[in-house]
Amino acid sequence: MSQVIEIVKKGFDGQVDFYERRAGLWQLIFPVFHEDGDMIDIFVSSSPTKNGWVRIKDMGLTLMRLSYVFEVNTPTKERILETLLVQNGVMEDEGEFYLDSPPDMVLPKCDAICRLSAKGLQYEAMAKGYYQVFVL
Amino acid sequence: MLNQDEINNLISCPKLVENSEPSKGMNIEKRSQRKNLELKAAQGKHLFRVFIRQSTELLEDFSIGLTYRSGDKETGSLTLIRFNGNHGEADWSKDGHYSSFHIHRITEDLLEQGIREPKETEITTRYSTLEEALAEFFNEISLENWLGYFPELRQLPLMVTVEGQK
Repeated sequence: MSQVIEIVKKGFDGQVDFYERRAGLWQLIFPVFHEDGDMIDIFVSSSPTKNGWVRIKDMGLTLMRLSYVFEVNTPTKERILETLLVQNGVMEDEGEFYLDSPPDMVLPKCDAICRLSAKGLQYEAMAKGYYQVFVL
Repeated sequence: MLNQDEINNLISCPKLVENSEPSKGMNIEKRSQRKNLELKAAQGKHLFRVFIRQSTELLEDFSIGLTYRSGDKETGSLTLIRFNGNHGEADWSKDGHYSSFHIHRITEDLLEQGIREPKETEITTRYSTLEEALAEFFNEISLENWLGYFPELRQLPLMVTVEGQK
């Protein structure tokens, strides 16, 4: 996995760093922030389904953060979330947003997760009827 | 719009728990432990909500927040203060708060800029676990009857108070 991380760092042209938060779980350290000043939470690990690929994921922290003020707890809200996932090509597993990528394609895939994470936090407004405003 | 004195008073006014969901322990949902408290000001009509969240996989990643439910269309619901765990050991934030235990606050200046997220941050050594953070948070917001809802923390306030007096 360390070799894969080096490939990914090279792909980012030295603009990011990775820190091993848990054994086999690397956190992306990069200058993309939530409105409250916290960095957006992105992690990478080996893909459990595709040999040699990387899984990019948020460890469920986007939905945890969203739940501070808003719960995805009705069929309508779940449908909006599903639409956001499809639009960004992101999968969901028990609240964790993720997607798998070959090591040299991590940059654009991280971008998709970041957009979803940032957009997910505008979700409250979307679910209240302003959905079209935020759909790219 | 709230001014700084009003914000400070809302945070520090004595409060009572009216309801807790769940009543004991935490729910586990979508990779985080969750608990919500509905609060009422001990005097007056102000209503609040406390949210408690902790990642099930990254235990140091937790958040406890106080949201003011104004009932007023302009002010709406506003998170006044949030006690956070750390989000890892490395970060890109200017003050390094992301990788430290830290506190977020809303301020009058932020509201004047149209920012409704509690963006003012302060690194803290007041707690290093969720349990210590809960006791510190409940003291900070003057919650009067919290021990009845968190009996597992019964021994903790003494420790935290002693630490806080050093």
